[in-house]
Amino acid sequence: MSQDDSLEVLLEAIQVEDEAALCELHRRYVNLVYSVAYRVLDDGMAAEEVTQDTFLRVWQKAALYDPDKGEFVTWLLTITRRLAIDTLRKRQRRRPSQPMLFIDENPDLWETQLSSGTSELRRSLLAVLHELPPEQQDAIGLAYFYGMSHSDIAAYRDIPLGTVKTRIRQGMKKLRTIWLSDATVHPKQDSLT
Amino acid sequence: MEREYFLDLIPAYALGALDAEEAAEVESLLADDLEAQALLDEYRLVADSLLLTVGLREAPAHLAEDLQQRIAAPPSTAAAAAPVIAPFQRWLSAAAILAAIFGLTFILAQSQPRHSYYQQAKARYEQLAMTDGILQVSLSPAEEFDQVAGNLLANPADNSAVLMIENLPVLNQDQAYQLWIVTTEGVVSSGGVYAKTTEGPTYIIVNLDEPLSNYRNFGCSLEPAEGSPFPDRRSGPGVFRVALTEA
Repeated sequence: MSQDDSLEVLLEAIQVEDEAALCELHRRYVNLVYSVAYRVLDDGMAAEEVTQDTFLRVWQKAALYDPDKGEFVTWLLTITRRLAIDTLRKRQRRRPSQPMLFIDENPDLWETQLSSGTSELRRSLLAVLHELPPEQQDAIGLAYFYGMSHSDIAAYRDIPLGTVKTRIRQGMKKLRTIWLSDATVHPKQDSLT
Repeated sequence: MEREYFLDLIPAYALGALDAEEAAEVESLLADDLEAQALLDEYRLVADSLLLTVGLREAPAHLAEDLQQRIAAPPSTAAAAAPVIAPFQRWLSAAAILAAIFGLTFILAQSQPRHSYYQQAKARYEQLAMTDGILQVSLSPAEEFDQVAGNLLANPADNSAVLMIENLPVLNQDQAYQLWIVTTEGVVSSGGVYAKTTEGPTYIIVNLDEPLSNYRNFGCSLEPAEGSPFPDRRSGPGVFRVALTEA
């Protein structure tokens, strides 16, 4: 396996237990996976464990990825996010220790991971997200990155349940409107590598 | 559930934010509503795009080799293999025994004993101690913790750093130590939450995403087991501080 092999080739090889293919996939995506895990857990060791568990899931279930249902990187990072949230729940540590959303700690690192088109996508997306009021950003971030429900968020922030529902609904509607109207924001290919 | 209200719940459903009862209701209505399904597809795309907003970090280099070991080990002996990383469940009984034997003194907050982390951190500290050009900075304890001593070893060449702390008080299960990392621009972020249940020196690997020169100091505070409720500042007393800019 080499860095020139397509994703499809790698996934087919993984399904016949080609270890080199999994290692190549790991090489390509490990930073992204680790970053998402760390974002949720804020704990390097736990993030490492979730990272490895993610790739072991791919090793076991590569056949379940359906290209017609979405991009591979989305499928992969969704596995990561769910594993990380499960870990968070098991540890009963549901109080986020990072500011909500949009921590662009290493923009230079992203540039080396993304194609130029997707770098532009990411910048557009961040600009879009920063237009949201902080309280909407906060509610969306708590729900997506920490697996909190409406009730969880209301209890955590000590605000009415209806307020949480409104913030999430309005924030997501705004994102969707801008998302649909901006041609650069629609990913058309697996461009996160 | 009225349709208008049902459609208004779809954004939250895409995020995974609905309470169980509402989620079940939405799912039952989605089955027969093509327009709602299309709307959900769009909102899922929006939700998943949030993944792009994550700050990117470089994964530790050892993960590649660790993965190779894990997939190469036969399933029946996978638990006996000694990767640096392993599922909590596999390591629980083995780590408990090792902790008793080796006097494990450092455990991650609210997790089972992490024998491999302690060994790794200690080994990295010892390795740095033998490396040329290493920055060594003594920590300054807070008045309330004046028995605490130790230092930071950091390698500016690869931005690796490890703290060694002696005489940290043992904590009960409701408490933890939290590391704080402060940049030269004053941006504060958590460096992790750590429990301490046994005596002995403590080793903490400090994960740095930027060159060492971009950091002003590191600090440690005493917090609830889940860490400070604030993302960028301590809620409990300071334990010690490591000043980098004065070094």
